[in-house]
Amino acid sequence: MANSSKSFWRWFHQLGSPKWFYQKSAKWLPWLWAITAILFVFGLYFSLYASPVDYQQGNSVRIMYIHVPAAVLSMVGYLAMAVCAVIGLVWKMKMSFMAMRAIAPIGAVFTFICLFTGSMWGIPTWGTWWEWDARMTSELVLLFLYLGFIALHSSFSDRNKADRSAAILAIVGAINVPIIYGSVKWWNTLHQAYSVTKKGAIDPQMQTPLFIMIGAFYLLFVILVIVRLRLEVINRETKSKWLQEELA
Amino acid sequence: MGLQEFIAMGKHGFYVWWSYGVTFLSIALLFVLFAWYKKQLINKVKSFKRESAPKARSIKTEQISD
Repeated sequence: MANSSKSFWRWFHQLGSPKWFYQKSAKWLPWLWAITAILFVFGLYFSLYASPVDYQQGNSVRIMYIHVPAAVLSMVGYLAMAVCAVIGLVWKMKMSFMAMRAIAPIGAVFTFICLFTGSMWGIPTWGTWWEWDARMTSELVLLFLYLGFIALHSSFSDRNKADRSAAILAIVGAINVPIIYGSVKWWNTLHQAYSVTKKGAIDPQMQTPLFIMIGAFYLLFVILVIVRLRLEVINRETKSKWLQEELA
Repeated sequence: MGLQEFIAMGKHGFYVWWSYGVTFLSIALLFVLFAWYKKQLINKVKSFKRESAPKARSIKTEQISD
C-alpha cells in the first residue's frame, strides 16, 4: 500500500513536468487511438445496425448512442476542468492550468454535440427541437460557461492573470454540473429521468452498445485533451531548450 | 436489410444521419483546428530560435571590436 501510494505520488509529480508529459504522451497516443478505434467499430456497428429498434421511438433511438456519451463527457469534462483549476490555484502546478485550458474547447464541442443531437432526437420524439426544460436549459448554460471560460482566458495578455481568473470561473461554474445532473429529478419537465444505470430501465441489448460508446467517447475525449495539451506545452515552453531540440 | 432500408432508418434517417454526421464532423474539425494551431506554434518556436541566435553573435562581435 505504502509502495503504491509512493509510486502514485511520483507519477503525479512527473505529470507536473511538461517535458515528461510531452515525451511520454507521444508514446501513449498510438495505443489510445488503437483502443478507441476498436471500441468505435463495435460501438457504431451495434448502435447504427445491430441494436434493436425502440417499440415507440423507432430508429430515432439510435441517436441515444451519441447523445448520452456526449452529455456524460460534457459534464465530466467541466468537472475535470474545475479540478485542474483548484490544483493550479492551490499547488501552483504548471501543467494543471495548461490542462484546464486544453479541456475547455473540447468540452464546449461535446456540449454542442449533446445539444444538437438532443434537438435532432426531440423533433420526431417530442415534436419539438427545443423546450426551456430544466435539463436542456442547464446544459445550454454549460455551453455558455465553456465559451465564457475561453473568452475570459483569451481576454488577458498576461498569462498568469488569465489562468487565475479563468480558474475562478471554472470553479464557480462547476455548481452547474450537479444542477444538470439533478435537473430531471428535481423539476418534472420534458426531459426523461435517469435510466442509463437504473436496473431494468433499459434493455441490455441497448445498454451494452451504449456503454461501449460511452467508453469510446471517453477515450476520444482523453486523446483530444492530450493532443491539445501537447500544443499548450509547445506554446508555453517556446524558450525551453529541450522543446527546441524535440521539434528540431 | 438492404442498404436503402439502412439509410432510410424507418422515417428517421434524416435525424439519425444528421446527428451522427454533425457529431463526427465537429470532432474532426477540432483535430483540423489543432493541426493548424500546431503549424503556427512550430513557426513561433522556429522564429524564436532564429531571433535568439543572431543576437548572441552580435554581442560577441561587439566584444571583439572593443
